[in-house]
Amino acid sequence: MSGFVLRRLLLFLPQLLAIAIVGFALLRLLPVDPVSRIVGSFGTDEARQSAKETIGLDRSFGEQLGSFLEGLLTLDFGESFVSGDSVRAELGDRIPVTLQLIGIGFVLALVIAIPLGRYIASKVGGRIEKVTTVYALFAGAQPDFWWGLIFLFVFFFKLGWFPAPLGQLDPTQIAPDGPTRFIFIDTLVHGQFDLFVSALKHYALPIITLTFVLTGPILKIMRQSALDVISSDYLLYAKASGFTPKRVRRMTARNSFAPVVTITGVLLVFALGGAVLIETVFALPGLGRYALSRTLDTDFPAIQGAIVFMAAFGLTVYLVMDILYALLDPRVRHSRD
Amino acid sequence: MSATDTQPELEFEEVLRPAGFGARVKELLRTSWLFRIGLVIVVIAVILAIIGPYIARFPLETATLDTNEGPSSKHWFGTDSNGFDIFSRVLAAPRIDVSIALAATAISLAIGSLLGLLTGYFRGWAGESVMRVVDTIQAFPLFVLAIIVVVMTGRSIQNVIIVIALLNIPIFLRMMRSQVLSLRERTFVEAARSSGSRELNIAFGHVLPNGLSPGLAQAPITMGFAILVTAGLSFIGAGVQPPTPEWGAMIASGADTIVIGEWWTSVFPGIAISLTVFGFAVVGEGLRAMYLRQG
Amino acid sequence: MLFVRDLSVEYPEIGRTTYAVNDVSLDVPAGSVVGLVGESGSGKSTLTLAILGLTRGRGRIAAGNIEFDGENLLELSEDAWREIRGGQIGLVPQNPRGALDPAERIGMQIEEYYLAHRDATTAEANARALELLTLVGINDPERRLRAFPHELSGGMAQRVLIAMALSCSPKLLIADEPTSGLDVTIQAEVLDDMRRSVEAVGSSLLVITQDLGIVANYCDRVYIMHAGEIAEEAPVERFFENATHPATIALLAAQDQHYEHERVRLRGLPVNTRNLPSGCYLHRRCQFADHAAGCHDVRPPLTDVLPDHRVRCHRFREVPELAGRRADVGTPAESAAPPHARGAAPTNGALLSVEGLVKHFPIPGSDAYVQACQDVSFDVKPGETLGVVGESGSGKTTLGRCVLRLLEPTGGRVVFDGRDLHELSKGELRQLRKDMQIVYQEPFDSLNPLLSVGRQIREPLKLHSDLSRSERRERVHELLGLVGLPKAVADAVPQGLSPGTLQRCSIARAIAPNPKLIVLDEPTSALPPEAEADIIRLLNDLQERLGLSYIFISHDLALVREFCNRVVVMYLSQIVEIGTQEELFARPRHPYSRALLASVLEPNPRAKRDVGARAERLEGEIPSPIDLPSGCYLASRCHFVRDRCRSEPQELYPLVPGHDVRCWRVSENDLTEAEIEESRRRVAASANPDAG
Repeated sequence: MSGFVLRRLLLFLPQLLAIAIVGFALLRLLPVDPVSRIVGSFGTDEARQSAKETIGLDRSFGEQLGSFLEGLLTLDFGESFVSGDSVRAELGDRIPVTLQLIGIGFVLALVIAIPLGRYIASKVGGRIEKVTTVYALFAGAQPDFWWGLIFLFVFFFKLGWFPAPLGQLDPTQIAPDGPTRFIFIDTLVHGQFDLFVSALKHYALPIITLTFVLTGPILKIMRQSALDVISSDYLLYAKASGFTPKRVRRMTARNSFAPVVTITGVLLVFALGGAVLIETVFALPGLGRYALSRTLDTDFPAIQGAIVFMAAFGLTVYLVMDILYALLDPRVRHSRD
Repeated sequence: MSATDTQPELEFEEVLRPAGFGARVKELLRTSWLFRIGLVIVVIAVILAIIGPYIARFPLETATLDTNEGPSSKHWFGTDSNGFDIFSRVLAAPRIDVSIALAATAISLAIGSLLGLLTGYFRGWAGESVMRVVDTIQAFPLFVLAIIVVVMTGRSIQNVIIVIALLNIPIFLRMMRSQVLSLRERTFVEAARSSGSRELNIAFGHVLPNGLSPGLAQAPITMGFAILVTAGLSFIGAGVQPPTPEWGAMIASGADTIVIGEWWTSVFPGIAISLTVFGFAVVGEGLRAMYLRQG
Repeated sequence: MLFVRDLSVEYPEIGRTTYAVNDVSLDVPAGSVVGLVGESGSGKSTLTLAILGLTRGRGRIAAGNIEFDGENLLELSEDAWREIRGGQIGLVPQNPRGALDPAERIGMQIEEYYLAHRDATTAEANARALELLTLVGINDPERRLRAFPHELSGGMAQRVLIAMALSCSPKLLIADEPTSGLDVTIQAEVLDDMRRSVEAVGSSLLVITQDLGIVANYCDRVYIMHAGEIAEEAPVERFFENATHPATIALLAAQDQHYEHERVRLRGLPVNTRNLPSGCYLHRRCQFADHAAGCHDVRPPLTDVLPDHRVRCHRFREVPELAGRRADVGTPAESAAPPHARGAAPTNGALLSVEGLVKHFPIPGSDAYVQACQDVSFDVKPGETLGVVGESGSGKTTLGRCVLRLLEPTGGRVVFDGRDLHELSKGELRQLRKDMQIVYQEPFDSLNPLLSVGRQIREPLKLHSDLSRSERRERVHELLGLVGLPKAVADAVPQGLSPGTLQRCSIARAIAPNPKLIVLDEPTSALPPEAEADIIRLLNDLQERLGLSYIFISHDLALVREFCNRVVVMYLSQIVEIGTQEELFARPRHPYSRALLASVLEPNPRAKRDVGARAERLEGEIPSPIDLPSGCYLASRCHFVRDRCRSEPQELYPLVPGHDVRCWRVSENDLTEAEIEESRRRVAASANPDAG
């Protein structure tokens, strides 16, 4: 087991470095011109030249890469071409928003889908099972941004249950400054319960939207893997051995979780980027919207910073997923393709 | 008594099943109402991709003065802020959305399966390196990758197709590879070898067709996913650009006004996406169950 | 002890209900061993589960009574059931690897089993687990306790399950095909152990099996199941000698010589319990079915033939006579001459000669390797059948592949028809493939599931002949006829065909290019007994018509004896003995060959394997093929081992022309019959007290 974890860990840094370098190179290979973004298409040659020097694009590719990698060591991604601010500080503001959104969304989806999937697996052929299975298939194949709009129309415009989609708080409210930039934590730290509740209301619809689409695939996988275990020989034999129902339940749970771990990891990585759609609908200042707007502005340092963070996040998720999977299913520890 | 003296007869209960895919799909159609619905949706979507733009009752990309009208007998789904007829555009959009999905899926299925076959059947360091690259790509949030590449290369239909195809290659590659890794150990592969077949013939004639089923079942699901990605990219302005009739862009054009009650601009294209992707998912799921059953 | 009365298990389906077990009554008295025999799908396993109050899927126990130790089990609460399951009734399930929790270590599983029924500490449970693994003969038990199920072989998993079932000393042990995954030498060991532990504590044993050898040697009473019903029940001697039910007779005929097979065989596949015919469920398959007797319309009752012999057949009085049991045939052991023996095998030159063949499989990431074949040499003459016998891990399958150069040997030469296979280019080798073919073990795996059978038979024709399209089609039909199949099979895909039919298709493919040699790699071991007999007849027939040579690889000694001219015995990558069929079966010389022959269970209750024969059995650890000893490979398991055996590598010593043995004691006449007799006596004496 420890050998497996070690091998997996050794892969982590080279992979991260590879993504960072490829991303860096890609930006400079693609036919885009950040300079004209800054000085406009009709800027003079001098203006262009001085802009180039300001943002460091006058240096050779090697030099640029060198200072990029040097910065990586201290997590310093440089200053934004657009705002001139530290990219690290900007990311520090945006990342918590996205993490709160998908974090809570995933916890809810898992809490709903796992027990429900387990339950319908024991009721195969019944009406509840059929309806739930169709629901799972449906929810897993839906445009989340559109459902966000529909929920807004119904729950904000028609019913008025939730606030207007204008960010984490009402425009008149000011978020506390630190320490974590996670609004649900910071408001509690500062004892601002009214802001906490307000944030909760602002996050509710985006989270519901996300949870709705996520329950689909998780439910589907959980149903299938629980079904596989329930109809397995070892479960039947466990019963024939006189094991207690508690032990049989533990056996079912343990053996049916591995595929759920995999699908959750895959969805989580996708959701980090995919959250841009929901963030756009609800005007949440998250990482996805940051990456999108800075891409439209050809802001290289910001894009590079976002790429490095997302890659690190994705690789970490896959690492944790592989280790969890190996803990649940001893077979992969020994032979893994 | 020798075997040929008796009239050869089959044993009772043995079934002579015809070779081929069609017979099994027919069986699926007969037994699953959900699959029938899914297939109808898929067929309609594909037909609209061909004829959609030609049956439009109003010009698709010409602004008119009938702006922001609700559904009426003239404009069944209403009009948007440019005065476009939403009904016509909803029917014309599959030309973009379904075509992109079809092209991207076909490319990724072909390339992914081929790479999966080669890396799985002829194992070696080259195959291993391909797998490490695939691992790394898959660990990156793909939607952001799509945004960056499409925006930077120019927001054209062609670029959207290429990016979505690239995103999905790893999925098909892995499916084919894992099939091949088990198929190459199967006895019928060695039997072909012992008949004197060449390796390349075995790889393409015996292994490839048998390994294709999961990928083919996945293809409709990937197409649905590709429609979602296409629409999502346009929705945030990083994909197909207006006024081209495209579902995601149409939803985006109504996104600001739906919160003040003007719902039809976004709702109808959204229903179209919702049903279409669901239809593809159902068909894919049915096909997958079919190949799992046959073992 | 156990009395089952009128038990039925039903599976509700839309529109109808099917019965997997139908109105079954069965007794297992205390201290007895009862056999339950039947084709696959006859409901045996469903019945055993039902005895434990369990069903698969959506099945349920619809009717009946199960009385065990004076209690009516079906009235018990769930808590009381748990004490019975595992505690009072132990089950050794089929599919041993699938029956263990894949996510839990073996030791934990045995401990939990034990703790579920005994008030004990974890340490005590652990000690018990260790003791049990040792009891069932698992090497290095401490290490195995920490293993996960996927790290065990099928045979080892089976022993773990036997250990678990025995752990709480159940009053009744139900063993569902308990030795199907085991090698013969180990099978005998395990069955002896199970029987001994039953006798020791006066409990009872219900064995589910298809192996008549096990029935004859271990059972007191036999039940035959067919389509969910008991077809016949009888004491074991009457079962073998006075069988009256057509299903029983067909089963017997596949394995012994008393019946003329064609006259009594059942036609077709087992009756599907989902779709039962009217009348006797067997009537469509039965050669004795008769309208006048009511076979087609009236379901026959279970009728007493004698007070302890019941049968479910309208014509039970006539069937034995119609079946024509020949009383004058001796036991199979005596009828040693193979019915198909073609006198002395042809002697003119060798078609194939293998010289010093070596095959190592390197272990990735280390210098170690698995030694699969070591210094293997033999000839095959035209028209001859050479048997290769060995247990799993002996290297016999690898040998078959190397001979055809489907695997690259590590060393040695294979000369086929005067050409050294290893000097051929890839293209020449492909050309030569038409002369040497192979038929595989797994019928379902050796045909491409997507392509029609006809296309697969055409493939070699396309490669090796210049027949036109229509001629090839014609030839495929001809080949199908030759293997006894109708033309229509050509257009069908493999799925849906029976294993026997599939194996015929594989044979048709193998003979398509008119080969000279066919390697038969356990061609019948995945088939039910009756299909096995058919395939052997077919192979004999084809050999006569087409002048083929066979290399017949098998673990089944009875088949080898019946089918082969000469025999090679392999053990851990080496040939330990080679000789003619007569020589080897009548006078095996190598201690391993002797043990192998002694562990054969004859399907004859009057020729039970005696205690003395058990003296031949091998004990102790089988060396790992990665780390073989420097001396004789059998030294760790051999009764007759000397110091010299452990240090000196053994060579094949010629005894008489054509009979070689890899044992210096045999070749130097150091191992005498007297010593062997002495050893037998010693074992018999020590076994007597507990043999009762």
